Amino acid sequence: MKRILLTIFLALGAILAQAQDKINVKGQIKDETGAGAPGAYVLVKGTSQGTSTDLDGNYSIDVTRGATLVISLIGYRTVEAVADSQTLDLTLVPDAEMLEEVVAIGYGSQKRQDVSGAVASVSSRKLEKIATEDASTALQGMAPGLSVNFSSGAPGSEPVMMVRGVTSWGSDNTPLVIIDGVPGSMSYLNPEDIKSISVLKDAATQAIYGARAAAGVILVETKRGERAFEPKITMSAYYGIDDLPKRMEMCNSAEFVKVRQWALENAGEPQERWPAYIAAYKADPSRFADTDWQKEYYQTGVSQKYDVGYVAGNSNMNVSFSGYYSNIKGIAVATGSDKFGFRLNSDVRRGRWQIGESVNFGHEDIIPVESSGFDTMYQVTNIEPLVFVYDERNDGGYGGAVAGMGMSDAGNPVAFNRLIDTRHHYDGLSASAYISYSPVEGLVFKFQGSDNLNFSHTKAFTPTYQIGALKPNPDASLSESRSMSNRYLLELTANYDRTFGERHNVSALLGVSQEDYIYSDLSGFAKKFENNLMTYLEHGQKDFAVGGGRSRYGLRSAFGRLGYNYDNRYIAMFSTRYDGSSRFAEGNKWGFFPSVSLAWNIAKEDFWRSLAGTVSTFKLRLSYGALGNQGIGNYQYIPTLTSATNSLNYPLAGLDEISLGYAITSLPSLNIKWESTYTSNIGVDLGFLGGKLQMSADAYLKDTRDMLSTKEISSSTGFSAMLVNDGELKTRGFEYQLEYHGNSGRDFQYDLDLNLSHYRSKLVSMSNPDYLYENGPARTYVGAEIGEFWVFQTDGLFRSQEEVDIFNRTHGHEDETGAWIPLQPSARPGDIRFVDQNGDGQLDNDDKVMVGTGNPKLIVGFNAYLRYKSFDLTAQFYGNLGAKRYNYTKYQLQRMDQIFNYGKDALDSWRPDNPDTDIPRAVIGDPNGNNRISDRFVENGDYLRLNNLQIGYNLPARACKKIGIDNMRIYVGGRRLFTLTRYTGYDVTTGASNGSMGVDYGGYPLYRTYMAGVKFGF
Amino acid sequence: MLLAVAMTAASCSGFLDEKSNPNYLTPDSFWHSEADINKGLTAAYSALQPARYWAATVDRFLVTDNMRSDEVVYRPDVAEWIQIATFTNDLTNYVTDDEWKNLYSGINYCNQCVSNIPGIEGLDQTVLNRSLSEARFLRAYYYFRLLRNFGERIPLFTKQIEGLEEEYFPPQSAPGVIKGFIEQELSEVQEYLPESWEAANAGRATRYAAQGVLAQYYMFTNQLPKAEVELKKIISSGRFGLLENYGDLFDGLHKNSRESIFEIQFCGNREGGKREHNQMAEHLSPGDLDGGYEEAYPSNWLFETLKKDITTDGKYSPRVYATILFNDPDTRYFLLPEGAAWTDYLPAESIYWHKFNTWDPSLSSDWYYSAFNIPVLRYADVLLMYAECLNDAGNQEEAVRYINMVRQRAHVPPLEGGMSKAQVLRHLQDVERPCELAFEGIRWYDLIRWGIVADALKEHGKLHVENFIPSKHTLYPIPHKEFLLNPEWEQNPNFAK
Repeated sequence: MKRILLTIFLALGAILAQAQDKINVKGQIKDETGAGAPGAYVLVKGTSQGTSTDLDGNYSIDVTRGATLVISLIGYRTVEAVADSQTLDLTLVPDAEMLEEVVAIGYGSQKRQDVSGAVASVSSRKLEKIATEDASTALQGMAPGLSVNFSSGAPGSEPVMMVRGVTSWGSDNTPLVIIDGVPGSMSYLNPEDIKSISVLKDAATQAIYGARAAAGVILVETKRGERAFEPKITMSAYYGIDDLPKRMEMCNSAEFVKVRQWALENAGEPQERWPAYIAAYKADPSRFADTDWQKEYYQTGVSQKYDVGYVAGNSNMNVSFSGYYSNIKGIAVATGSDKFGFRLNSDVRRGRWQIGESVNFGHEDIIPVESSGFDTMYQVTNIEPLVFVYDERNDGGYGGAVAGMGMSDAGNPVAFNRLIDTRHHYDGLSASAYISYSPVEGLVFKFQGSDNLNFSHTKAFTPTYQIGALKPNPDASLSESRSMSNRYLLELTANYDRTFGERHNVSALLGVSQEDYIYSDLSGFAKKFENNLMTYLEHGQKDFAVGGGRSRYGLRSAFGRLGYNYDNRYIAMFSTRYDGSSRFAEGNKWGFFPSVSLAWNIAKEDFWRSLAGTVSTFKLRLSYGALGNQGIGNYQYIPTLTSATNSLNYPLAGLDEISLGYAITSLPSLNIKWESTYTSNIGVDLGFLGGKLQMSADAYLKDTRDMLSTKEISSSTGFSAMLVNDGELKTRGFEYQLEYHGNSGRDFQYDLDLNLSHYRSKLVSMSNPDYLYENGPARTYVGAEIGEFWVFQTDGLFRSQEEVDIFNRTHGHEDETGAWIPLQPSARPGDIRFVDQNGDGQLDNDDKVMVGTGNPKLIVGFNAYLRYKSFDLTAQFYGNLGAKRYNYTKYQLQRMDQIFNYGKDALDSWRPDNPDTDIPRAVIGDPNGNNRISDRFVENGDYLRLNNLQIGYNLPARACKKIGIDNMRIYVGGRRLFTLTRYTGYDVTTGASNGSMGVDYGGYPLYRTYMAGVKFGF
Repeated sequence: MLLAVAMTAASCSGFLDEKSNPNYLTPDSFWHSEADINKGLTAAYSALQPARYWAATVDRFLVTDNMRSDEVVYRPDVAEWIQIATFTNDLTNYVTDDEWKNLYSGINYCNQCVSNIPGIEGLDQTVLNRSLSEARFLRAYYYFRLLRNFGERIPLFTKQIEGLEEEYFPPQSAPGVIKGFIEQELSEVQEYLPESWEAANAGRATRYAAQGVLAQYYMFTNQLPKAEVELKKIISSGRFGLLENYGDLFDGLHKNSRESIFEIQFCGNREGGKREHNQMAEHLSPGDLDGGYEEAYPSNWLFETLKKDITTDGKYSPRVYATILFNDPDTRYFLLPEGAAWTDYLPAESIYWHKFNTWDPSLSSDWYYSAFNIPVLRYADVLLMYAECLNDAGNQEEAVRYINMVRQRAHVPPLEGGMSKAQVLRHLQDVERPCELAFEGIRWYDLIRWGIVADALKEHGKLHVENFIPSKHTLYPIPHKEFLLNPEWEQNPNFAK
């Protein structure tokens, strides 16, 4: 029976098809210049049937008369045309206008013209001209209001992202990253996979993510395949040579010995107390090396990355896949990283149902720089040039301090990097799936579940070695740790979007979500191994130690959004979110975060019509709302009793039996609750010359109250600072973006993009009005900007004992016995004269002066995309203006109070025969405090850097066809090719921690890359 | 929809409730038994070491207690240590900051015991009183350490922190308050502390430890008659005596001996990542042997003084060899290979500390994990202090008798009778105490209480003595951070805030 029915149906279908009028349609698709547009898709609407245009833009397709053809080409507006004649030529209009851009706003998307909040978006078209393995690096300078800063350029270190300046003083300021609707991490995101990025900057747009949105939200959408009928395969590769752009001028052996001797002489050290190497070097320099440690430690690195992927789809489904491998050979010896991963996204539509998934796997291996006790950058310049890099007589083969010579314990950094085998391994699997159902038009229910699974594994094996006289390691040791974290997210939403009576658009969103995060780890340690080849814990022989723990938080939310849009002229949107977090105690768990935004599209008004030719876009935006922050550790409200740590244990009888101690070692934050940030935003979007020139400006005020902050308490309590809700922080700022899409004829096209950001974060109040936090030169206190630099003011050098004596006779104070205590009692000629600002005869904290901050007044991004015939050029500049930096590298190289090597500047230090210098005398122990925090180390931190340069050549279509591909681009370029700055440290951009922005502790500098790459598709 | 219902249902089962931190105990579950008392007291004792981070023991026992005295010469290495040794330290020096912090942490742990022990139900009152007194003794000792280095304008906490603002920003104590507290506590606890502990608990506080520290306090504050009373209690107990071999005191193999009144316990057990050793030998041994740091040397003055410590048969006394390493056929140093000559490894004229620079393989896996104890007070010091008190009271003959007990053990000839009060004192100051107690963290505080610190430093060739300002450098500055919180606090004389 079944078979009979089927046969009848098939027969009927054949008859009907024949009855319909089939025609062959031919034509040419042209671009805006009138030339044929190759590679455009011509699809029959509602079917999976279609073709694409040839090299001259011609196509040919058999269709039913009256069918609708949909013609699409990347970069152009999609057009539809009815096939009712045998020839159909069409001219495409470029999709340059930002107005048509679709912007992701969280649980949905909007056309740019309908956006009422503050959103910056970056499209893949801009990102794909940046060759990097790190997605957040690619975002620097791309979106106004999003700052990307590097704390270090070391392999495996990640940039610090911050949206609109500081949000909280004392808790987390990192924005929430949402990848395809799921909280994720930029570190496993392949930049090639990014379709678009939206930075949600104001409360109105962030509120829907209320729980963790206060510090900004970065929404990432990855490529999901196209409804094209032809699958496409893309491959790309790049290869780059990395190097350290700048080195410090260091003393060689002879110079080092000379300065060291000055320092000892000036300290009045009798010659018999001098280290033996001074005499020995003078007697026979050949006993010592003359090592340029920077040359030995830094090397030419390599960055390379290979990508492969496909997209495919039809009207019922789409799928995309990408895989990559990248490798970095670090610019420091024996460092580097390896990364690979893949992503699979697909969606299937069937009637009212849609199902899809996103699966991303990433793996990363990092070989880090090894520390030998000091920060590596210091170690490289600390170690005496006298030390040999290699010494075959030593176990391990590396040189170190020469026995009996009184040398420093600065370790051979080359040896440490090469001998100690530390590897970090990370695996991240992020899988999410959804199912959606649309019972009536405009209404969609969606259920999404996901799990982010992260594993990390670190293994550090220290072999036996003898790095010189002071660094023996007779027993090998191993420490190994593993951790796992799971983040489960379940989410149910209902989305409604409908236009009534052509002018009234209503949209609504309701949703609930639940997030569960669980972390656990375990670790082991053992010492003494049979040999340096047996490197697993089971081979360890003594001093075993284990560790392990678990931590969890839960987050549960209900949220909603209601939007109304009248004729694209008046737009209003309300959002709310109600969040509960396990990080807060009963009674404080729940927070409610509402927001509202309004927009007026003035250019759509009738009265504007006459001006529309010149000013095509004119929109005002206004928003206000509250956001929450729970960015603190877990369990903070629960009182804890610490047990059995080394600082609490005691061997009561002095025997091997150790008693375990228990005590409360930190104060609980019993009443800790949500921090709230109230953001107001006002913005305007302008478009001129039919969208060629676009401008967007926003000004905002972020007001953070009940701030999660640390309360400093007297250390005489026996406790350190505690976490409280205290204080108010205000951040004001503006952002400005200017884009120009220009062309000169058909051959030359250019896009220019300038963006400027400014912010200023001020601590408005704290419960203790005298609140003052000091970290090195950086101070934060009530009424001031976060992280001001307060330093002693220097006033030149004392040139003679007479000058010292006169100064100390007039500067100082009397003690209670009436004895005169000079201001700088230990000063000698060649020491620095400091200014006693308040004239009380003592140099104390009240004598410091404010000399600026490490926060830039203006952050500048300038990006140019040029295209001439088959050539293209991309240049991206990024800079900071109005920032100061505190240069600890200079401090280290000029301190001359230590046993370590000196910068070449030390040769110009003050001596009786070198009186005309600014550099104080070399002296062991620094009795005068020449090295105290002072304006001596404060430098101008302004810079402008060419972050990225690419010059590309696009192979002509005909040539591509000959080798069987659709397109190919080859390019040469570089990253961070030059930096304009007056800063004298290694890198003007590193060092980015909140509250001490611009304090450069000599971080591992970012490297410079010269590269070439190719990308092709077929 | 079903899923939404399921989610809501699941919500009732405590999804957002975390009752405890799985990695820690909660205080509620504590202070219920004698075992809890011992755990709490262990924490209070642990601050004696303090093994809170690498080289913290060195910061206290080498730098804080000894670096300033005329017995010690620094190596020009660590800037903060040089600054303390040369009297150019200011309020950003981490050593003085940490000493303050570590002592107040100890006081905090003691106060947790003091506030909670009395409330424990169902325990013998003797146990409660004894345990409470141990905590009070330790607390008084920590305040005594604070008093010696930071003066008496320091905050006083006598019970567990409750979380009040006035606790977070405490006032400075008025003059006399800290001193009165130390005196009262050490007097009161004597009644409840035991006379001795069984071997497994050796090293815990006894009533003699309380008497001894109280005597040290009285000596430091120049109340010699009161000190004499306390010292007399210890001597007349008959429980203490001198070890036969002076060197045994520091070899780590004679811990908590009959000469020990109170000493700080260390051990070399590293199992499970434990770290209860000190780093003294690592920081004192010569770099040329096995990578030691040789951060401090004996001063020439001390060496010359000791070289006069000649036994009755004309040799250097055991005190010389146990105190100083030098090029001498009778020097035995564990790192010097068997049969090797001094000059095979070390400069002929060099000298190093031998005290607190020893090791025995039975004590720890590696020589740089020092497991010997560090004395707070030993019987020889009791005898010498007692002699000083007797002398001060005019009883020179008795004083010399007690001094001679100490000399006899060192096999050096006894002092002759007929010395004047000034001569006896001078002998104690210049000979007996330096020879017997060198480098044990005593000399500097002795110089201060005698009021001769400036002269002694000058006469004994202290490097950079020109920086020493008597009205300033007898104390450390109160940490800078305290003035950020309490701007109206008074700083110690002549230091900036």
